[in-house]
Amino acid sequence: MIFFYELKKLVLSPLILSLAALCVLVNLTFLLVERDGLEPMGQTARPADAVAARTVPIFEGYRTADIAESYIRWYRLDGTNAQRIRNKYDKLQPVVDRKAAVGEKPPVYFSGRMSDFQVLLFGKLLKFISQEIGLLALLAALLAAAYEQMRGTEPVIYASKTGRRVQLPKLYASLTVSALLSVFVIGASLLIFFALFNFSVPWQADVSSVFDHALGETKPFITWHDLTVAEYLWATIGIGIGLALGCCLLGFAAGTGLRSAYGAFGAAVFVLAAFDLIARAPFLPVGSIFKSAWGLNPMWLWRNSGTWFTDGRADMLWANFETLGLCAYSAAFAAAAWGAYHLLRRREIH
Amino acid sequence: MLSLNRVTKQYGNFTALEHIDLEFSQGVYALLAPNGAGKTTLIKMLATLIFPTRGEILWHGDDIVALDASYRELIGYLPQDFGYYRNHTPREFLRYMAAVKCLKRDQAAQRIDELIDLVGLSEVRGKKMRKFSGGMIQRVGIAQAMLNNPQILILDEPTAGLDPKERVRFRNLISSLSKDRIVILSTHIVSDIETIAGSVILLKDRRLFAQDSPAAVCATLAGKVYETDAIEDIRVPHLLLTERQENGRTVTRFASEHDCGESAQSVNPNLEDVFLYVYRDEER
Amino acid sequence: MRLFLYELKKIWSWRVLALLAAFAALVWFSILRGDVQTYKTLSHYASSFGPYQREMFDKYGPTLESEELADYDISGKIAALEGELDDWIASDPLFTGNGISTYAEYEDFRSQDRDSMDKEEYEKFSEITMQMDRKLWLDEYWNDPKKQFTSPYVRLGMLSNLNDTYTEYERNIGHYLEYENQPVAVEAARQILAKHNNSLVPYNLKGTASGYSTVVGVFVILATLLLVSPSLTRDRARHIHPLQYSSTVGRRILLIQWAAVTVSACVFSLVAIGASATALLTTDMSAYFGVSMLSMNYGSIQSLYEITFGQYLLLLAVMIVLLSMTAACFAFVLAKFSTNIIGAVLKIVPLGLAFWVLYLSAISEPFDPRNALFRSILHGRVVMPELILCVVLAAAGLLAAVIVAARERKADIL
Repeated sequence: MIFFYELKKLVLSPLILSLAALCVLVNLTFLLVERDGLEPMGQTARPADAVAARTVPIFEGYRTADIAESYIRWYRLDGTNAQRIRNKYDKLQPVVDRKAAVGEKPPVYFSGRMSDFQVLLFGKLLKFISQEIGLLALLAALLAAAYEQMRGTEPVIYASKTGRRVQLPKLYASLTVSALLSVFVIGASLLIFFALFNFSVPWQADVSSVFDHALGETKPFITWHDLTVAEYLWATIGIGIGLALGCCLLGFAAGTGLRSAYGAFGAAVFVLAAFDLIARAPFLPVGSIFKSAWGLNPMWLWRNSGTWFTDGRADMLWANFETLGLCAYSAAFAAAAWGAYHLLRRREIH
Repeated sequence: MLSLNRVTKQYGNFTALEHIDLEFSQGVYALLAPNGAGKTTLIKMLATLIFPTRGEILWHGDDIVALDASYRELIGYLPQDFGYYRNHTPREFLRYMAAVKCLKRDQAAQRIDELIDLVGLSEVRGKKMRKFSGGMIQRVGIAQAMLNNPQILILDEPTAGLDPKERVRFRNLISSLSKDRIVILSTHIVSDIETIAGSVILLKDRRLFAQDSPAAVCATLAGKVYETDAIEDIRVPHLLLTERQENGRTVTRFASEHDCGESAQSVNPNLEDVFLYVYRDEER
Repeated sequence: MRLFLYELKKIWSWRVLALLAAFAALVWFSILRGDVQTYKTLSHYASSFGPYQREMFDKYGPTLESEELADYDISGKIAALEGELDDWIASDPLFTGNGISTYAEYEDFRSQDRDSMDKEEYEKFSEITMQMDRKLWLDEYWNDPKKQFTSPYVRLGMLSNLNDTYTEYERNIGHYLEYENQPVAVEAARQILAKHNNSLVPYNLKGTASGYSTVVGVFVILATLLLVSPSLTRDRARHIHPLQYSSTVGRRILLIQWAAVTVSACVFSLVAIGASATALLTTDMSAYFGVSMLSMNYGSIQSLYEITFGQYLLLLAVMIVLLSMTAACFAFVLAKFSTNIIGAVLKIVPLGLAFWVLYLSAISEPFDPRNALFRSILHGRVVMPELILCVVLAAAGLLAAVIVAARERKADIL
């Protein structure tokens, strides 16, 4: 019952709704600008012909150790850091062998344009979307957590039978709203994408085959698990929504744990900025455990969204890093939210 | 029975309340003290918004902090600064409050209508509260406090913002509500409680100064309150209480421990006299 | 004046300043410090020009005259290094084993037609050339540019770049002259040709200053929003504004608040620019304040306008201050429509993101032909569009603030 009231407060918040609409508008603008850049080539793409004409088995005899060595050379690594990268790519070799055994073919469905679409959809649009929904979720949670404090209704509500436990339905409502807003932003943006572009991709083909190569790199697009393009899209959306819910937990923890709404916002932004900036810091060497563990944070996952479900880049030492990061940080933020809630239950309301 | 056992509240090195022992059973209890004397601190402890540093507050022998929700479902609370949702109608706001008070939907709907009528907001029940006057908002606050038909009604400065007519109406309301519950009323407006309070609690220097019926409290000043139209003739030490104009004369009311003889007329003390006398140090 | 100081005091809350200081520390340690260190490292031995360009600057001053170029004798230096390389190659079994005994033969070896090779041959060829390159580059000293600089091959590359820049510049600048639809770029190219590309502005000076100023600029704008927003909204949230409006000063308080916000933005941005510039000036940058930025380095025009490096830095600072003031004005406007802090935050977040995107897409790399606003939007037709944009935005912010303040003077306060 209270949950629905809390849900209504958020769903009917004009600011949250305007922000969600603004996100879709920004994505629309972005896609229109991108379409202008891609259009001349789009007219000439004939996927079916291209498949027949130029398929080359790329995984046959492919050595993942070469990827490791190229990273080691590029980053000038040695010692244990280099060894960790070699170990990771040793584990990837059976995946490549399996793909080779089932006759994975390289992609030419877009006559060489696959990587443009790949970059546009997975490297840019879904990255923006996941960042936008993360921000929306953070703000929705902050709004939910600080709602009573802002309106001076804390005393009457905290003195009621529900008391400070009212924060729990608020949390559930903000999680629900985050999920709803995510679905709205993702749905509307993808609808615009598919309306603007002829994305005639073989949805049931293996994504490692359809995508030319990893984003911005020359190595193949090697996923740890066999995923079709459709599965890959859904999985990417799933991780994006998962990260948004994680941000929602972070916003709730900050909004509930800190008495000042502005302080809560500042703290949440500071945490996210620290995630990003420390990950960039030159004192974290590629191949180190700390760099890789730090890179599991939401900000860095967003930054690397085009590499989700693949081997990632050199700074990622573990398979399925996106799932690992999502689980680890969701757990951490959930613990923070739980801690903040218990702090509130003991806190005096002046 | 609600009781406070040697309750002390400290904020760092500052002691707001010290060793307060009180017992509340059915009736109206008026907490009377000047601003900053600790009334709101005590009220907030009773509403479980803040917690005693030492001592305990018991409801039928159980600590109210431990009782948690089962204590809070017994109370109705109107804070000093009553916050509300500006874009809600009174009915919408009361529905939400009914939900946080865990009232059943049908039970709540009926109760909300009753209370809206009781506090005289029937005509504006569908209007957004952002257009309400201070008195109307205060009436919504009273209604929300009454929603769960509380056994303990805690009201912090409830008549603030009410016009004289509303205050009389409110006093009558409190009086009728107190028949089968504890009403704890914090105020520094003496006239609010003179007629309805069964017990007056005076706080002074962070401690309980007195607790008794209004008549008994007033009796502590019996024979010490005088009126005169020639205050300059009073030679004994005295404390000026009030002044009023009467037929072109200035009639001064004062208190003195000494007999003033013929120069002043002894009068019956009222609660306001007691208030001014007890808190004479704070006044200066 | 006293009221103005009170408003300033409200804005400069130590809590917000502490938060901003923590942000600043993060930005410094994770980005800016690395930029300064990279600049220091690259300025001496590791950049495309090594120490040569700076050596010329020390010897000849900010401009390079034709007799000075002749005196430096780049071709003579190149010839000497090629001789050194010949000796090295002739004595190395990796090269001699592959039939290479001079640098010229090595160049021929590398430029073989790879398309005619089969897969095995190609892999073998790639492996050998990679080993040779690594040897010539002294690759084992990759993290010690000073040692790597002892390689004549490395120095040869640097001198070749120097030669391209100061001797062969006419060839490189040709493609700029073909940009007929970008008249400003063409004019810049003509001016560079006319003065024989004689500016000795170091290669990595502009890039470092521009990248550094982008980080500082984005930080300053976001920090300004964080700094000024709460105090304005707090008055509304706590219902102070009816008291202010009904006081003697009345609704003039809005102008005082606006002035306090703008001054705070200016002061904050100047302090932040000053602090970050101090760190940057611990390098050798101050020596180049008088050098012209209108030059072509390594095939790219550094700046489209005849300004010195000092003026360039000054313009960067002015743009940051203008944008910071703009952000403050818009924060002032949005605060007037917010009754609580979260309401303000929900409005200021998209504003901050918009400024961020605007800065990165239109203001970064200013006065450079690659600037997106100059190149893609205005097609190289407008002089200093980045600066004009900042001025226009500041004027728009100012106007919006004035309009809001004027409207508020007649608004009913419910």
